[in-house]
Amino acid sequence: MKINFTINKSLDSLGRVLAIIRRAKVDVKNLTITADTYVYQVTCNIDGEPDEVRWLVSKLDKLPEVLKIEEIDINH
Amino acid sequence: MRYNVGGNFGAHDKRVVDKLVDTLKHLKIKHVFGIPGGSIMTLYDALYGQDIDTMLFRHEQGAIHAAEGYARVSGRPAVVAVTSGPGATNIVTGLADAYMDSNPVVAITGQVATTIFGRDGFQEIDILGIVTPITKFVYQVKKPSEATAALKTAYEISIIGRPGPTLIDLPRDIQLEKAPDFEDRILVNKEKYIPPPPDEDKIREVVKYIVEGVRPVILVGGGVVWSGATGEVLELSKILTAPIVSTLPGKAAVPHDYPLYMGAAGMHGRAEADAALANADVIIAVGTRISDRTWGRFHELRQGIHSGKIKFIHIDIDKSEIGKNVKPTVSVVSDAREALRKIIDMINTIPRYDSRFIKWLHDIRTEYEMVMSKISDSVPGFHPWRALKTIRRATPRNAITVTGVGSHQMWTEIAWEVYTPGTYITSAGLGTMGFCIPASLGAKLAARDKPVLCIDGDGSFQMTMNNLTLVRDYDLPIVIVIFDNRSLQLVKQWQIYLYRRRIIATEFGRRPDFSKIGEAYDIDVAKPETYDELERVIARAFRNNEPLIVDLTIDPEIDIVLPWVKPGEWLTSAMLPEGMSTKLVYED
Repeated sequence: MKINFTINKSLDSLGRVLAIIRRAKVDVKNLTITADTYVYQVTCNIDGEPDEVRWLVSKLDKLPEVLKIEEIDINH
Repeated sequence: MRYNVGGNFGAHDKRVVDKLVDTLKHLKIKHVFGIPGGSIMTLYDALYGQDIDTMLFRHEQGAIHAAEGYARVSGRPAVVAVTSGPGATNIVTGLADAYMDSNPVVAITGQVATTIFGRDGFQEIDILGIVTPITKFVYQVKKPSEATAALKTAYEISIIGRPGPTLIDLPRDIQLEKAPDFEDRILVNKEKYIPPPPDEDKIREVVKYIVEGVRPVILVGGGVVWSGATGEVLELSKILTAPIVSTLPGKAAVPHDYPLYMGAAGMHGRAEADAALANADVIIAVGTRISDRTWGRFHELRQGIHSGKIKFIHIDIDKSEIGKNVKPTVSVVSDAREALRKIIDMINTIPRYDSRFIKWLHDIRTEYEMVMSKISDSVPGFHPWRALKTIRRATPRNAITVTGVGSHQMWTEIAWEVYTPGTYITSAGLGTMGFCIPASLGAKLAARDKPVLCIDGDGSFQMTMNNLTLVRDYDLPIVIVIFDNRSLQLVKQWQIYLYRRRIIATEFGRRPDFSKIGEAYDIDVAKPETYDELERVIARAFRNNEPLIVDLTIDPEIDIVLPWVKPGEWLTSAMLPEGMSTKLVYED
């Protein structure tokens, strides 16, 4: 599964995102952060139960700093 | 005339902190809870002579719990302002508590000057790093133009959708700077917190399951209180003849004299509430995060849902709570009140119900009350169960009751009756000892016209008793009853039953003398010897609107809180008091 999300360009926000990912019962295969003028684009490839991935996405989406988020099933 | 401390600008120019105080006023903030210090002095200076009262606590933990109590009673965010370093770290427990129990608190922490960031300056701490996982929003102000926007954002986010704590960190040099006449935008997405309208298809599915079931049970959590959905819960319960069970924070959601309210379920819930949940065929869980504390364990529930024997409906404003511990049969992400209203409006048949099930639950209640009455009559001195019944009689129905954390709290979970929704406040999720006194002070400040009762334990009381000084400083007459068993009794109960009575580090000595503590803070202390005397002293204190500390001696040997669902066990295996023969498994 892949999660793409956009956060404001702040390392504090990035720290909050990582604090959530580290508590999810998933295996992070790859994490890419790209800086734009005002935002960070984060792409996260993960292995895990679909329900757990959904929970992670919901949990990330609770952060006000997460401006946009999408979950992509890369197996399909 | 404004006196500006620091900065190279004229006497009539506003500092960043002056603008922040203007913002607080604009947000109709009437009180700031906290303790000043080097890095937050400028903000306090800006509060000088303004129409905002500063509430000076004796420890920052007291300030933030008071803010929680204030927020819960007023329904509005409360503001805490503390200095950097230890001032900031001292509010961490309260932030975690507010996060777990969804309390809207806005914390403002002072910070060292930006010039010495990250260089281990005096009283410098990375408070953002520390509170990251326990706040809904945090922001460190790095430019003067961000300050007011950050405060407004923190305030708004704390109360929008599911409430929670927020924090802004204010470096000292930024506070002192001249306020710009423009405001930067804080790039966040707040719209996501606006709850979506209930999904019509899902509501239809919910109604289908509800009317098919014969033993529906409504489980209410703290979300029902925030949503103001008490009326809808009662209406749905009447239509379905469905028992209502609550979580610990959900105890405040419905009046307990409603005949179908079975009490709180869980580790120290009521037997009939545990029985209702464990034997329902439809569970409508509203505004609750499906905590292990309420369910003991999830295995049986998951199995029941999987097999189709239980239809589990989960309604919550926070989509990350859906399926977190238990995957529901159907879920509705929405405000509780709106969803319930839609459900009620869509029910167009008279649903069946199992009257024998309801009677069985009431029989469990009667048996428990009878057994506890006998047990409490048979012991010399005070029994916590009867003491609570007595205190309840002496306490006005609309009183706000706050508890500490420990065996006394668990007794209130079982035996304390709440008649007015929203008037029971406890630290449920984090279980923070020391919550009672400061949260009661905050509650009293928010509703001076209402009686406030703090039911505390001696261990819990001693953790924040230094804040008692505010009772006289700000005329906040609260009544405190200490269930004084000279132990960390709930831990001791586990030692007795789960650790083969290997009692270690849970027994206190005879000190301190609480009557002298009361004397030190100019508060009367009563040490009643009979239930009549207990009732009399409390009734008198409430009648005269006078503060009082009641030191209630409880023999720890009899202070075993039952029912008890031991950790990791299922609701039906609750340990019941001696003399109760009922099994909590319903025979259909």
